[in-house]
This record gives sequence, C-alpha cells and structure tokens, in this order.
Amino acid sequence: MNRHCQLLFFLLLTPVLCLAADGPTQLVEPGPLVEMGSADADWQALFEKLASQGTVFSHFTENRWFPFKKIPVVLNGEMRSITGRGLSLHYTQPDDRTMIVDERGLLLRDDRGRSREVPPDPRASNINAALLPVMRFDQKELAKVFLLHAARSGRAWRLDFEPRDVALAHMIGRIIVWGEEAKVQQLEFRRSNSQRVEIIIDDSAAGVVFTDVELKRFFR
Amino acid sequence: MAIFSQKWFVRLLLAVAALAGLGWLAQLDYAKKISTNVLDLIPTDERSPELALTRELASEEQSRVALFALDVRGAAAGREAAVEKFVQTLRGAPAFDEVVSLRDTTARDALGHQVFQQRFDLLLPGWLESNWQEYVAGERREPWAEWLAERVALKLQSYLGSPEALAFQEILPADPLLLLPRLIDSVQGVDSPPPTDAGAPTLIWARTSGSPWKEEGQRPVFEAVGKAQAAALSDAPEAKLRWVSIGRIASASRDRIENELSGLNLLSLAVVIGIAAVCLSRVFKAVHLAPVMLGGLLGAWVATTLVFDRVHVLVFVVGSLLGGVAVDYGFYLYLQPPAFPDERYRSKVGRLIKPLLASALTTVIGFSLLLFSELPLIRQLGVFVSAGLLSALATALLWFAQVDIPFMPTRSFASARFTGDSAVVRRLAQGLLLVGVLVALGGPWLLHWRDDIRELEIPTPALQAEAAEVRTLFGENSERTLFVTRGNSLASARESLARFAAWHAREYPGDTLASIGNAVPTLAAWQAQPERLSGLEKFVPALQAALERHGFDAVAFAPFVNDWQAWRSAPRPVYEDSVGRLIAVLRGPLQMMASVGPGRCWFFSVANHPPGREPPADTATIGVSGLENMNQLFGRYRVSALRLSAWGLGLVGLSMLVLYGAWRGAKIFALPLGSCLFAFGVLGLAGQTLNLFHLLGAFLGVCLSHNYAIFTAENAARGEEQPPSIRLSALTTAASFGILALSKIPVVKALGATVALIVVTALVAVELVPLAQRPRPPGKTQG
Repeated sequence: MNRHCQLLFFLLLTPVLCLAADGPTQLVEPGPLVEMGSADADWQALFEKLASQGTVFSHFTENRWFPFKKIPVVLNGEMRSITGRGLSLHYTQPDDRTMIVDERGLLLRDDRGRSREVPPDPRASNINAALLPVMRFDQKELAKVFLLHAARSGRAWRLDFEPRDVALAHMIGRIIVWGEEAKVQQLEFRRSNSQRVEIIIDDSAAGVVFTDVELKRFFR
Repeated sequence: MAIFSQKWFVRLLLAVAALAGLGWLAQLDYAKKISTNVLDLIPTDERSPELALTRELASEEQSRVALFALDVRGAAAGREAAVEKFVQTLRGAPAFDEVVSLRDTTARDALGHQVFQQRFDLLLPGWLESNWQEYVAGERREPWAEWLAERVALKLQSYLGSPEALAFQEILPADPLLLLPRLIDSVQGVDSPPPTDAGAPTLIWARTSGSPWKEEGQRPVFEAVGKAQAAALSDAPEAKLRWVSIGRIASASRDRIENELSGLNLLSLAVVIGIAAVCLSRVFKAVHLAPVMLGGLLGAWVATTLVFDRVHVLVFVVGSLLGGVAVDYGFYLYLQPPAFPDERYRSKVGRLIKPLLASALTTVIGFSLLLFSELPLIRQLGVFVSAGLLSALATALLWFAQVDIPFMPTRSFASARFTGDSAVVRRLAQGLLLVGVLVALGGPWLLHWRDDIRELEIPTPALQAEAAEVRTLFGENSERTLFVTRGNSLASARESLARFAAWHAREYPGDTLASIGNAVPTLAAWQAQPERLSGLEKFVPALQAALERHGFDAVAFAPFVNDWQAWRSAPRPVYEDSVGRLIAVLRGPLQMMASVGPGRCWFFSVANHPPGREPPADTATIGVSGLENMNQLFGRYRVSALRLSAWGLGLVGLSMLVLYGAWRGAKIFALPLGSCLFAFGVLGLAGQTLNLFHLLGAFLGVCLSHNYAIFTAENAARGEEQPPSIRLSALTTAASFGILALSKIPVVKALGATVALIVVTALVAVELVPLAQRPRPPGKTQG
C-alpha cells in the first residue's frame, strides 16, 4: 500500500473511535453480511450515533504488527476530532509527532512544529473518494465501496468493512471496528494476521472544548 | 544635355541601388533571419555561467514542455475515455516527443524500481560514509561491523513507529538499512502529484519535438492539440482544455508584434506625410520626402541583414521609426531656399553639406559605439540606425539632384516667428527656460531604474492568465523555490549539490530540499566505499543477531541477505555508468530534474520555502527564477549601454568642438544634452521607472536634437533665421515616436516616449532661446 493511501485510510477511519468504551471486546469472528442503509433498527441507531460525532478527545494505544517483527511496535497518543475541521492524531510515544487530516489533505507535524504536506498519490484517487464518507460515517456512500459484516453479543458489537473492489481489498485489507453500545473500543486494519494495526481506545470524552493554543498546535 | 545626362545617371544609380537592396531582401529566408525569441536578445556567449545555464535551460530543455489541464465533467467512464483519446492523439502526433498523464505513475514506478535495483550502488556509499563518520567520531568500542549492525536494528525499530513505516513495510525485509525510505523522504516534492479529487482536471505533461521558438514547434503543435481536443470532445462534448506552452505564447506574441509593426509603420508614415502636407505649400510635392525615408529604411534593412545572421524583430519595430529621423535630411535640403535665383543644386548642396554631414556623421559615430555593446539587440540597432541615416542622406542628396526644382517653400505659418521686442515675451521665455533648467538639474536625481525582460514582449493577458492557472494546477507557487546546481562533470555537480544542501540546511533549518541528485552518490563516498566495506565481512551475521535482539525475525530479512551477497560478489560498476542507468529511466516531468552529459551536468532541487537569499558561489547553484536572472542581466547591460552612450555622447560633443570651435561647439552640444536631461527630469518627477530602452531612446533623441542644434547654428552663422525644416523635422519625429509610445510593448513605448519628449524639448528650446534674448542690432550675426 502506498504511503498516502495507508495514512489517509487510517486517519479517516479513526473518527469512529470517538465514542470509546472502557475495555476491549470479546467478539473474535466477523458477523453475517448486513446491507448498509437497510439494516435493522438497532444497527441503524448505532450508525446514526457513530455518525453524529461532535468534538472529541481520546487517548489511544496503537499496536503495529509487522510480518518481520515478533512483537508489535507500540505507540501512544491523543486524538482530537472536530466536525468540519478535521482530525488530529498526536503521537506522544515513542516520538512526538502529529498527523492532521482535513479537507485539504494530510499534514505531518513534528515536535518542533514544522509541518510537511503528504502529497496525494495519483493511484489513491479512488481510495480518497471511497474513504471520505467514512469520516462522516455516511452509510450510503460507504455502501458503494464496502461490504459490511456485523455481529453482536450482548452490548458488544463488531463491524467488518470489506472493500468490494478486489484491488482495493488487496491494498488496504479489512477494517474491523469493535465497540460496546455506542462506544468504540478498538479498531483494526488487517491485511493478514501478521500485518495489521490495532488501535485501542483508552478513554474518550465527547463535547470537549479545545483552547486556541490546542487548535493552533493540533489543527491546520 | 550634361544636366539631362547627369539626372538620368542619378536616376539609374538610385534605381540600381533600390533594386539591389530589394533583391537582397527578397531572397532572404525571414523565418531563419528574424527572431522573435526573447532569448536571442542575450548573447550566446554570455559570460556569466549562471545566466548562460538559465538561457540554455530555457532554450533547450524547459521550453519544449507543454502543460495541459483537461476538465471533463460527467461519468467517470466517459471522463477516462475522453482523457485517453486526448493523450493517445497527442502521442500519435509527430509534433510531440513525449506525452504523460500525471495520473500515470509508470514513470515514478520505473524510477522507484530502478533505484531499488541499484540501491547498493547508488545509496549505500553515502549511507556508509555518514555512518562511518559517526563511528570514527565515537569511542569505537565495538568493531565496525557490529556497531553498524546494532545501529541498523535500532534505526529500523525507531522507523517502525513513524507514519511512513506502514507504507514501506513490504520492502523493509529487502531494505532494513532504510536506503529507499530515506531517499524517498529526500525527493518528496521534486514533482507535483496531481490533485486526486474526482472533480479535478486531468493534468497532462508533454514535450514537443520542435523548438517552440521556431515554426516547427508552433503550428504543428497547435494542430495536434486541436485534433486531440476534438477527439476528447467526441466523448465528452463539454470537455474544457486549458494549456500552456512557450510556443503558444511566442506565436501569439509574434503575431501581435507583426501586426503592430505594420500598423505603427503605416500610421507613422501617414502622420509624417500628413504633417508635411499641412506645412508645405504644395501638398503633392511632399511625396519627394518619401524616397528619402524609404531609402533610409531600405539601407538599414539591407545593412542589418547583411551584417547579422539573425536579427531580432524588435530591431525592426524600433528601427522602423527611423523614417522620422531620415526625413530630416530631406526637409533640410528640400526646404532650404536657394541663396540666389537660379542657384544650381550642386551649389546648394555645397552650401548645406557641412551641417548635413556634421549631423549625420556625428550621429553615426554615436550609434557606431553601440556596436561594442554585449547585447545583440543594441548592436543590431547601432547598425540599423547608422546605416539607415547614411542611406537616407545619400538618398536625399541623389533624389533632389534629379528633381527639376529642388526647393519647396513652406506655408507661412510653418516658418512664422515672433520678431518683436517684448519684455513680457522675453521674461516668459526666460522663465520657461529657467524652469527647464531646474527640471533638467533636479529631476534626474529622482529616477529609478529597473529592467524587466517581460517588458520586451507584448502582453497576452488571456493566454498568460490561462498559463498561470495551468501552472498552479501543476504545483507551481510562490511558496516553492527551484534551484539548479551545475557542474562540468557528474562528480563536480554532485559535490556542489552536497555543498548546496549543507548551506541550505544552515540557511533554512527545518525546510526541506528535494532533489533527484540525492539518489546519486558523491564521488568521494563512492571512492571510499571499498575501504568502508572491507571491515564488513561479518556484517550479515552481526545484523541478524542485532535484529533478533530487538524483537525482529531475522529469517524474514532473507531478501536483503541474498541481495547483499549477490551485490558483494558482482564486479563493481563504473561511477558514471551507474548514475547514467538511473538518469536513463527518468521520464516525463522527472526528466527535467537532472541532466548528465559530457561537460554539462545539473540537478534541480525544490525547496518548500519562498525564494530568498542566493546560494554562495562555491555551491555552483542558483535559484531558478529565470525572469529575475534575465532582469539582472538586462540591468547589467543597461550599465554597459550607459557607459557606451556616455562615450558616444562624448565623441559627439568632441566632434562639435573640433568642427565648430570650443564656444560654438559647446553651445550646439548644450541643446541635445539639456533636452535629454530635461526629459529625464520630467520622467523622474513623474515617478517613472526607467529601463534600458529609455536609455537607448535618450541616445537616439540626443542625436536627433543634435541635428537641430547644428542646423540652427549654421543658419545663425549665415545671419539667417533658423530653418523651417527644424520645425517640420521635430514635429514629424515627435509624431512618429509619439506613435511608438502607443505600442503595447512596454519597452518600445518607453523608447518612443523618451525620444518624443527629447525632440519636443529640443524644438521648444530652439524656439524659446531667440525669444529669451534681446534682439541683436541689424547686421550683426552670431559667431
């Protein structure tokens, strides 16, 4: 997967983390295929809840699994999301760096505040178009690109987004979101068991107000 | 009979000269002879290597690039089909050598593949050298191989926490040294990827086969683009094409220059003849002035095209107004009344030849000095004006020799003058002259000079706006700076790039500098590599151990081990060959980023900051702000032209002192000099910014007003009033140069306005000086 594509994919999906639950889920297998937009009322209610994110602040832990590494690389950070302004991921461990995604694209900012645009990749044009609705959790648009497998167990649920296009599936793999009630607990980008990224939400607060200093530092 | 024969001999002479001149002009290949290329204004042997390089880049490499932005609305399938047809049609046209859609990543993929294949040849030397420097700067407790292996594992571990690691995870087993990720990080920005949103236009980069400055790089290109656009429209009728190429702008500029050339010439001729018709007593006889002008222009064209292999069209645009100067001699000869009834033409010429020769030859001397200018345009103008004036004088002398009555009186108002002794008039004239002197002394101090090469061309606002839009889509903006680093050899260019990168890092800390040159090792690193490798026989097992210690699966790095061992056992390639293979895969926009050739190598670099301080000379690097470079060049030529003009004026002044004595000569020379200073004073007070062409205009204006000073002084010496020819000449000259001031070419406008202002000033001064003086007692003449 090319760099821009992967980063964008990762960042655009992350807003669903905004309503995080307290602990990881126990659902280990994907559920049956569900038709987005015409799912039952419970799924509709969940989707609408996920789509109606406001200003969110979360702490997260990211485990990166590589096929050539026996143990994952662990990163910690903070996520800030503002509807209409974009998403900011501030990694605090092991290095201090920030990634910002918004309508203008992707921006990397180092610990000294120096910013660098990540140029769009021509090959990623359809990916960009496909993933933009994800930021809004737009079921109608998502349905055009992904198949959805959904599973429930009590209050816990699991959503598996599988790209319809084979080439896209090869590039980005499957996206899995675990949650409980209306909170996201974990997100995974999975190309294979040995090649995946897990994001575990440690805590989350919705409706927070960011200061001007935070806005300037963590957004464009 | 003798007179009859003499007249026919003169007519024959004129006819032969005219036929010879026209014959010469008729056989010229004007496409080859006349250039509209701005770059032809710069000497081919420009001494500044930076400017020479800019000229070379502009004329050879970059100028052939055409950029297209194709907007196609509607369904994706139709859009893709329309774009594909457009691209394929262009590719099929002989007018284009290369056509690449920026969405096509083939060129970038090929480059990436090539760099990966050659990573040990190209990237390892620099990597080894920088690590070695750190190793020797440290305590060296471990052997080199172990130290390096541990460092690789640590860096790899750290890298996996970066955002980029996710993108490169598939190549890391073959590249744990991170050679490729490091390089890609350092070349981000050398080309601008296209916008990826669905509504964005498709960007297409193309290179024409012919030079855009010549016909083969223009019309065939336009036709091919027209066909490609039609092909796209067949699939998407609402498709909109915006595009830019040097050839398109050059062609539009040439068309407008040609239109302006013919329009201004005709208007100038009409005005000159019109003034003559109004002021002369017999209108139809004014036609006798036309041969003088035409003879001057013919001589100027012939001489210039004989002397120079290639002449810039601006010479003819500017020089076409020579008519206004050439007609002076006709006026002076034709309007001068006979000294006595039935005075023979030979006697009249004998009487007038001194001022005629004095004015013509001193002007020619002045303009001849321009032949020493570095700027081809100025040299060409020098020949054009000098030859034109001599031809005009010869034509005037010969033409009126075969006219039955070589005299025509002016209408009374044209020679009327105030002869009374009025204190009011005198004081008014003195006051005006005083104001003039003050303006001449004070105004020039307020002048500002600036040369801008863009002023040499006729603006084409619509095309330029379209070009700006397209270039912005292709990523050009004021927040980026392009640099070019040159060298006589690959090694020297690469060493200079390393020095430049070090300077840039100090000068712009935190800003990125991307260059394809980063994929090329320096010769020093290349040469040091065998020694650095000599201590790395046990590197592979040391690396495997280090990887295991840091939680990696060492077996997964088998691709690296295999490639490393194969590379170590293969013969080492030659430095230039290795780099040559890399350069050979550069295609499309990337091709513009580096060039390696015998005796001439360069690398482009792109910095993510606005233009700032120029790099020091030892970096052999310049900011590629082509216009600024050209402007500096023209600024330098202006100084050179100023020096030559000063020498020319000095010679003209000296000629006057020699011909007319110190006091009289100084008085004669004071008129052109004072008029020039007054004109500069007015321009200075008006806040006008002056350029090289104001300076040339001033030189021309000085030479013209110099004629009036001589003719006035000659008449005064004979106790006669100033000849009416001065008024007519000044009016026609002012009118013709005033028309030049209507030009849409800024520099031509500058030239016309300056000459017109100086000539009018000189005329006013000639009229005011007698009014400001007390009338002399009858019978006393000036001496």
